[in-house]
Amino acid sequence: MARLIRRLGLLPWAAPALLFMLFFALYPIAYSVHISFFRYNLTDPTQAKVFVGLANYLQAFSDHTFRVAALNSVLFVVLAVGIQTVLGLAIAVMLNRDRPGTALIRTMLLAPLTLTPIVVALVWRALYNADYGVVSYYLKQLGLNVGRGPVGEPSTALFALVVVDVWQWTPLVALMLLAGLRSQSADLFEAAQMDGASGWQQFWHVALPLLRPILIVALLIRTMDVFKLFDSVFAVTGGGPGYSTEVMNHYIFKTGLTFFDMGYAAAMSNLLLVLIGLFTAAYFRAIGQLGTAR
Amino acid sequence: MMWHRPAIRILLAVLTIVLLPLASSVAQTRATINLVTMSDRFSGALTRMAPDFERQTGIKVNVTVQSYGELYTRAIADFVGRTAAADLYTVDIVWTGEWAENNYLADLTPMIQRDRAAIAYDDIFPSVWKLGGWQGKQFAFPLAAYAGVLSYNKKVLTEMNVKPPRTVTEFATAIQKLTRDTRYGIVMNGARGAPCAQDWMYHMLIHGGALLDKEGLPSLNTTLNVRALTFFADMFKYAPPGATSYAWGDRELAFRSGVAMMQIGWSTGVRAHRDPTMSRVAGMTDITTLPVAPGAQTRYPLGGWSIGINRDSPNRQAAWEFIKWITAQRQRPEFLRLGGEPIRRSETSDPAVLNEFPWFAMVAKSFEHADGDFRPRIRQYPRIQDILGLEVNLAITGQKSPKAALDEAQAKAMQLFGR
Repeated sequence: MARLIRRLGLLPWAAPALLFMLFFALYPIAYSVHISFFRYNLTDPTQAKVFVGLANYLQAFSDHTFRVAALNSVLFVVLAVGIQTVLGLAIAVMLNRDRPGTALIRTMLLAPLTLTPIVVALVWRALYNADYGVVSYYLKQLGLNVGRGPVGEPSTALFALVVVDVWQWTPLVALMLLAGLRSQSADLFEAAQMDGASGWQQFWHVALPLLRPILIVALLIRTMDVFKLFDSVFAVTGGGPGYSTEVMNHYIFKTGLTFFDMGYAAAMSNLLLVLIGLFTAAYFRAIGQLGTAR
Repeated sequence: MMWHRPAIRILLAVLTIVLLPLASSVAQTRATINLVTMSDRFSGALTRMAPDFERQTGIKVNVTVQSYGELYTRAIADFVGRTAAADLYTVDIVWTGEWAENNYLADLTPMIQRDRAAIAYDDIFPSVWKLGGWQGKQFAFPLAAYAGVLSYNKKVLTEMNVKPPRTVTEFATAIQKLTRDTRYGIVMNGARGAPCAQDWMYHMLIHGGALLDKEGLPSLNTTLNVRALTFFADMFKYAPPGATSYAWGDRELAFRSGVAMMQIGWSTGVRAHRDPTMSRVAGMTDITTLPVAPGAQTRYPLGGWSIGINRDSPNRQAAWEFIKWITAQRQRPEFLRLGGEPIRRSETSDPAVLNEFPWFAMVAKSFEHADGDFRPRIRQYPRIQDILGLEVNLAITGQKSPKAALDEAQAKAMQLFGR
């Protein structure tokens, strides 16, 4: 009883955070779930809000554009987050050694992070332009046929956008992992060295397992972010050519905020939420198994 | 009776404190209106002329400039939420049907009839009333009208002995003849979405096609439309390689930088073609009406913007005063100089105006016969444009045949009409 009273006494201190969660996270999600069961189009002259049960969800599964967008989103996440993790880890390991100029490089790594994603997208749009873009120019100089340009060809457009994401967000992953590496005790590595572990073995068997919590956080942050990909698709390709760069968030935006089909947009948003949840669970499971195996 | 003097003073002081802010707030609500406008060239004119209106009338106009998509989203949110965040909105011609049918805008017809003489009603091109006009009522007032024209590099065409094309056959021949190495005969928007859909619609028009049939239902996959899409897709061979990703800014840049020799676009772009600070081909370009396919009639596309009053605006009278002022014959020369486009016959026949904007003579000819419905101003139009934006893009990037693309577009469009 005394414990309960003590806990209730702490409630006022947590109340602001709880209220914040309630109004800015739980309520919108609950409302989104609610309207996903209705046919509700804001520009419908009748303004009718008709209950349709699961029809919006069934529509999403039979909607070719949504299915393609979901596949593109998953492919984008696998490619972008995978490359960012590998590159980020490599950069973090390189910067973990104190050499002349390392501090300057660490500072410079912050530069892409300070730019607004839409600005980055517009700059890359110009760089990729098949006719006057710098990227296309150098690809042509290398003897490559760029055709309609990296974002103009259906076969390369998605990968071109992955490059934009990798350019901007690899430094974030690198800095997070670098912070993790810097916090590891030197004693552990000295002990491993005394046991005869090579540099690679020290990294694989000591540094990497210790990095696991930070790696999970980095993967989660980037996965959620990449599933929300919007700016570069909106500013560079508009989802084209054809369906090649259509992703879930862009399609949801168009449905909800261009055509104001709020019920269907809400249903697709909820499916995106489920997809992110599945990826998160998969990460925890995979990383957990990695730890058990070791 | 000396006691009452301090009491009166206190009473006056209290009344002053209470009434002054009230009076000021009343004055402010009467004298301030909010206008949200598209970030087109004319928005500069609205922003710069609003202070003059305030000096003359005491009504302050706060002008907010937004991109096309943001303006639409903001306006719909305002109308649906009935927040009256803005009193005035600029209205794209293709939004007219949706905004009118949903009663988002105040019906201006009674005010126009009342002030018919003051607004010089008959001076406005009859076709231009399509900007904001819907089923016999006027929901927004024409502000800046655009004519769809063929812009061409006169210098290069003359050097190559190519005449401005009058027919589609001449057009195709000219495009091929003008293409040499890194110089291209034509440039078109190919980016997925509105850019490629709208540029294809010009080609649909010159081939004699239409988006709707006589019953008002979609007719996207007619023989004429398939022919127009085949032509449109073929012409990308003679356009800059990146044109399949181009939107309006890229297309204009290709023309102004002298890379492309011809383009079809709105007349509002012409002043940038002639501006040496923005164009490498300043002084070398001209415009003409669109070519036409054999057997088809010459068509003159009309686009542009009107200005309408939010039905929930508490400042309808002040907003109407602003509309009358900014569209008045007296203000128009200044409006045009600051980036606006004409709506009146007097604007396109005034020698002083024509001296400054000589291409207005061609624009006036276009307005006399203009077709403001080649992009149907119906509620379903944004969806139809989106469908075409995808299917046309699939056709020009070789992922679908023109016939298959338009068959698919037709099937999707029919669903919008419950068919």
